[in-house]
Amino acid sequence: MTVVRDEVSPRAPTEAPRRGASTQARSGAAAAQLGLAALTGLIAYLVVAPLVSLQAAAFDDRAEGYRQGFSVRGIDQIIVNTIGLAVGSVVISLVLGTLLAWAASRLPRGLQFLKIFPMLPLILPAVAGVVGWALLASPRPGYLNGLLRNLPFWSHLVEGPFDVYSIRWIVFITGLSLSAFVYVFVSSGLANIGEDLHEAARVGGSGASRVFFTVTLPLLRPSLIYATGVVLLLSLGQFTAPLLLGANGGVKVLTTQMYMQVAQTPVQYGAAAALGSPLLIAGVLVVLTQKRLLGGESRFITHTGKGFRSESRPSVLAVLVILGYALVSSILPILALAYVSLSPYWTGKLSFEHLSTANFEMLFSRPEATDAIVNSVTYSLAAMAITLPLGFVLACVLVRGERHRVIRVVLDFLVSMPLGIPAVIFGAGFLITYTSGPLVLYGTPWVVVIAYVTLMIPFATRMQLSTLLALGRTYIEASRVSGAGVIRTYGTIVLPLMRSSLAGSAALLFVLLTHEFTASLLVRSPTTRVMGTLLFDYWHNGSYPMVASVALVMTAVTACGVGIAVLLGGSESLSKM
Amino acid sequence: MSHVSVSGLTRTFDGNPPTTAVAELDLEVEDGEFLVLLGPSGCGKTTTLRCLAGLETPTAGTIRLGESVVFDHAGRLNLPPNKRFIGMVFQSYALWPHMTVRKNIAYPLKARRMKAALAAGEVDRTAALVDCQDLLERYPAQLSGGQQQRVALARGLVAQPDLVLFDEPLSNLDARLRDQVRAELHELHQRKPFTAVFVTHDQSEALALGTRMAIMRAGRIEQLGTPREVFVDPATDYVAAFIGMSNRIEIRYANGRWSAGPTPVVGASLNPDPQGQTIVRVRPDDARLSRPGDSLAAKEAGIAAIVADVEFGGKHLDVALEVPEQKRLLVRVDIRRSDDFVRALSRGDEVVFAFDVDAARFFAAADGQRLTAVRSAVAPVEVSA
Repeated sequence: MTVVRDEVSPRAPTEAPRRGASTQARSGAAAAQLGLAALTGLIAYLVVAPLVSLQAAAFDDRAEGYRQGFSVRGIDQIIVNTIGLAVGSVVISLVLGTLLAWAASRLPRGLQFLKIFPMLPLILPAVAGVVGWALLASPRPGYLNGLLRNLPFWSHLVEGPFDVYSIRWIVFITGLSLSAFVYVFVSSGLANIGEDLHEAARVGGSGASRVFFTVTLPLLRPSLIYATGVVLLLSLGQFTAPLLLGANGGVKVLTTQMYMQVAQTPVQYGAAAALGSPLLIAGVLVVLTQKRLLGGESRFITHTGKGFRSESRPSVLAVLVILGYALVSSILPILALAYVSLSPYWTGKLSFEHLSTANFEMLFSRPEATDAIVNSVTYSLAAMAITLPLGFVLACVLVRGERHRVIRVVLDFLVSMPLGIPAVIFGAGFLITYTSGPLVLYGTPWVVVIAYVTLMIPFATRMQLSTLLALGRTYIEASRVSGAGVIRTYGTIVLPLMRSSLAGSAALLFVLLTHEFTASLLVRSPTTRVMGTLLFDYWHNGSYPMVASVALVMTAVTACGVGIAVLLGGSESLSKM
Repeated sequence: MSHVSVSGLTRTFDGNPPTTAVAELDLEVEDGEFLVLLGPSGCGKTTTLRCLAGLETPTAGTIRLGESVVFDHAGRLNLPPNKRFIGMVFQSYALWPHMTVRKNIAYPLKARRMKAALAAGEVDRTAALVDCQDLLERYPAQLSGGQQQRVALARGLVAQPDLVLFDEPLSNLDARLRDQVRAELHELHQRKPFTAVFVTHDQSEALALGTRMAIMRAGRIEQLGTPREVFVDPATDYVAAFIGMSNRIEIRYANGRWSAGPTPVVGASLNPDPQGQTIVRVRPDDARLSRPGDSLAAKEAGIAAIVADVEFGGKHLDVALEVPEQKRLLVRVDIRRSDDFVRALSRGDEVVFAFDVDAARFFAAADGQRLTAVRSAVAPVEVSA
């Protein structure tokens, strides 16, 4: 066998090329360092600039913002409401989410597809869910109330028995939708516990409940801690339900109060910023605590599915739990939306005579509506096109950047910030940052796109991080020792292997973006309307059939995105959120 | 001049407490040599290999590959893996699932822009070398474990690199396949010697494949030599334990006689070198069981013991023995050479653990170093694998 080798041999035959290689390697490292610094700077600007501008506004004029913000009438009640909403919905979602996760693990073989059902609230736009429930449980014209008043027990009532505009219902609806998050985290936690561990405990002499409390629950602890943190932050920053429902009953929380400060004239940036500060601090604390409690990458341990998995005993109760949850959280609100969108008025009485598609025809003939839909889709696509590669690079640095430890820790924290800090705060921050220098973007589509990019950074990074971790490092190492450089390795090995999951992530980002309501509402201008803000305007004007129509269109756009995600990334892709 | 030269290689990992995986390691590998790094998990052998590959950055030292320096801590030089001319075979094979076998094997040539080798049919030739010429259009998922391992081998060899690295490549195969691939690998290296560093924790792999072998312990090389040298003359107690001298008896010289705890050592003299505690190492198949009271052979020593267990192994019997204050001793008796006494043994029987003093090796209990005073004058013991 003869040695065939090109003239350009990788061997360095003399002293001179060796020194060349040395400087080359050094300049390569310097370039990498520079690139990383630039990336960190970019992310820091996107994430930190809005927060800094907010605090600057709050502390301006000797902390006038804080004085104003916390001397608002009824501030005590607002804080009590905020905490009550958070605690109540966290409790509801933890119990319900864990119950759902248990139920999903006990589904009969033929009904495995029901596992997707508890994730419906993640797919259903939050505004659509809230509006749907308003249509169902509004004291006077709510359909559910109407039906219940036909029963003898409540027949004497003129309105009620439910009042969707009360704090109790806001807590219930929030908890209901947050259960989906707990479900996702606890389910993956459950899947990581091998069935053999349960079997070992059973064989060791424990009954079913003892196994649950001595084996399952302790092993679920990381998932539960993580879920609690996420749900706590989401419920503290909850905006949609309090804004749409709370206004009627005078229920105020910190986020809605912040919005009022920004929406009124003259705009009170300082007060708004001050009101957001407790949420900001809570967000940073929870993110830091989670990182401490859970350590680096333990959150992302992927289940390799090895070993024997026996079938758990299927349970009818499990099917009922999941169907009941799907019905209450998603199907009933959608039905209410569909009915109202086809009716001329929202009356609370069910009759099928006057149903028509007139509302949709009107919607699509209004330029503001078609503009909003087109805007939503284009802004989302643009933000997705920016976030996906950005998230990929961030994920690569977080997984592989062993040599740049400081940058890695900083990036890891920056990336999780938009997840921990309520979108209202970011929305207000974007508004201040981009209405004044150096980058005045207010009124242009770019402010919306930048806001979307910033909010989506954690999602885009996390999704690709889990894929990269599952991919492992040997494929990459095998390529490097075969003589391929970093770029060639990522181009020929990593990207092709991640293709399907990248496509799935892209579609999921699109879904999350078309949902976006909070930040869109805060940074909106007359020229940058999206579906969420359009819906809010109609809601404000009381044109409920139009509200229902917009909500349904939003749901349809989202459903398309989900369909594409599942088609491209497989049915598992939803659980990556 | 050697082909691969490592000096002062150190790799420490931060942590609490910080750990040193490789400590000031010096190593020379000759051109065409097959060097095996042998040791238990955590001894630093894989870290050493990854430092050679450039997948791990050493904390100190220099590495020279062929004619070029690839790592020099003092000179702040660290060539990335793709700038070192190496091939590597991974424990998990790491065949890229989205590429056919042909593309997998051709990858190193393409990545290094070796167009002449590609044009000359080097891919087909290397595939034929490992008997994979019929699998070229398949995908890795369609191959068996043994086939995947052969393809990974072809990928590591195809560019004829300066150095081929093996990271426990056989440990994912089942026992029979492992022997087969091992034999194939050995034959391949005999036919066309390439320079290789092979990491394993399996002593039989190391003995069979290595031109030389290095036994590693806590980031250092404990002994470096040909498999025959290491097998016959382990330098330390640790090496002896690792290459199969599993029987360890601690003896002490007092009042003119050797004893193991309270049990006296009878029979042939142990060439007394009375320096406190001494460790005797004997292979299970170099020891013999004798009736209490029977006389031992001229060069045999013996210790009274109680049978703890007898295990049937087909061609042999494994007899576990208890001696007070000692670890379990094991004697492997060839069934064909066993007599009625051995065949009738059961738990609780009294026997004598007898061994040829020339087959035994002696080490200082204090530091585990070989006590050479006990070297026998006769030729080295017959090597039985």
